[in-house]
Amino acid sequence: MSVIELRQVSKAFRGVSLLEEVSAEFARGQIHGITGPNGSGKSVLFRLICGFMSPDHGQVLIDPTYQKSPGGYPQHFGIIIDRPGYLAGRTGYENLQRLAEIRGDISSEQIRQAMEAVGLSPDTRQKVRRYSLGMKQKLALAQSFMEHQQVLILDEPFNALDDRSTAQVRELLLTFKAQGRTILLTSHNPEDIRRLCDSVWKIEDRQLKQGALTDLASSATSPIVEKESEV
Amino acid sequence: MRRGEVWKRELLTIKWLPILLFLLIWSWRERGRFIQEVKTDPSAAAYNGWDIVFVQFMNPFLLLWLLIPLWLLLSLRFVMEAGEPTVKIRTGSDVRWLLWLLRRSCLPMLLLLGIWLLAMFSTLVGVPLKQGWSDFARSDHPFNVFAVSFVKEGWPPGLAVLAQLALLVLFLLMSTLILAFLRLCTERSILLSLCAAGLMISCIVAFHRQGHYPQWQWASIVNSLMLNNAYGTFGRFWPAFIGAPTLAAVCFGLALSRQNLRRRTQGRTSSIQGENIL
Repeated sequence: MSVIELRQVSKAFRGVSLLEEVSAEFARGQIHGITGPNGSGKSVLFRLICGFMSPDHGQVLIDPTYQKSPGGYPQHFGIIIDRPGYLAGRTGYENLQRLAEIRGDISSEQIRQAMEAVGLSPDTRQKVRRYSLGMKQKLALAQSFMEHQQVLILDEPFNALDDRSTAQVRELLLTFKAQGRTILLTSHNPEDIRRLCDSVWKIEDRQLKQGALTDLASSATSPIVEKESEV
Repeated sequence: MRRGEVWKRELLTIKWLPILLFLLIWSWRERGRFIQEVKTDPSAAAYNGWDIVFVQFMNPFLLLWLLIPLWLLLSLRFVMEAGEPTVKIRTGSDVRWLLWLLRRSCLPMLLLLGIWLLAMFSTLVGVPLKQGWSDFARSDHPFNVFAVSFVKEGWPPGLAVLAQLALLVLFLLMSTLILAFLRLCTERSILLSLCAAGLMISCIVAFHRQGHYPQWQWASIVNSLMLNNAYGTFGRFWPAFIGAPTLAAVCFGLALSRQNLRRRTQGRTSSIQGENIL
């Protein structure tokens, strides 16, 4: 049973084609990894899924449980797309509180729990402008699941995390999977994909191709990955 | 979070303090100027508090050079912050995002207008604020130019203040809505800044050109911003209330069309209800 389905989706920017007739289905309750070089269209794919962009051709289909109003954004989707912006002069807790106020679904206690789950202290008075990149990434993760979102669209969720935090977040994502949540994530680290994902997709030559998890070890030494690790 | 806490948090931000100080200084300076002018004019009739209020409240220069640019700056920042995908996805759709943004921008707007009113009415210390218009307001003194149209139409001063405030609120909300709609169409902040600058420049041009090119009267932004100007141009007040709601309706209409267009490329998976592509 698929939560998200892409049918012949194409998208171009200023005449440059990023995705061409891409079709894919992402099953419920699984973790799907998407790989591809920088600029290959991973973030664009996520924006298309969330309804922030429309495809030039094709259709993005969302499970009716999450797509109540056609033309709108899907509900119960937790997202990290690009690098989320925060109010730099506020604390991490205040930033999450501001986001939680929009839907008004959760209590202060639940915000605190989400922060603690990613290893951030909700009581610190440290402003976000003083946060390290890793702390900002943790804050981005916390907002993506704090309202018990059932589908997580995570663009490079392990960016800037140290080894311990990476292990903590991997553990957290596996817990979410066990709870039946669906996760789409991108990562440049084959290890993340291999440890977490049930299926792996690669954006290559404007196509989204399903790969085998066993291929990941060899792809770790491919020229594309080597180039990315240099960056 | 309780509404009171949100108000408290917004009120405690440092930006309101310099604004309050500036408005207090400006209001008291205007009061001094008014009293001095009336004292030195032997033909001036007796005034009351409303005359002092109207000299400040309808002052086009304060609107043009303080309130509008200040609001555009606040709106610009607010729209950029609210344009984050993490915010948008929580609102549900483009139109709901616009509505949420308008609702959220009401708080800083009411605070800004509240501070302005506070500064203005603080200058009434020692001056009687009587119920009706004074003899001064009924005279042809150049300082009562802002009140004369209301006197003519028989509007009580309190109603005139409320109507002008409502008009200002509409105008400020409309400017936020235009910026927000643009944010839906583009993520390039430079375009938003250019749009805000364009709104500001068109306000200045419309104000300064109004008297020189009567054929521009219907297009004049100032007439949609100041009731007495609208009366001077159209001979009635209501045309001033047309501009902002019309533009707001256009913005919402375009956002809705955009949303409907997206329906063609968006649908639901067939996992539950069979083939159900909308």
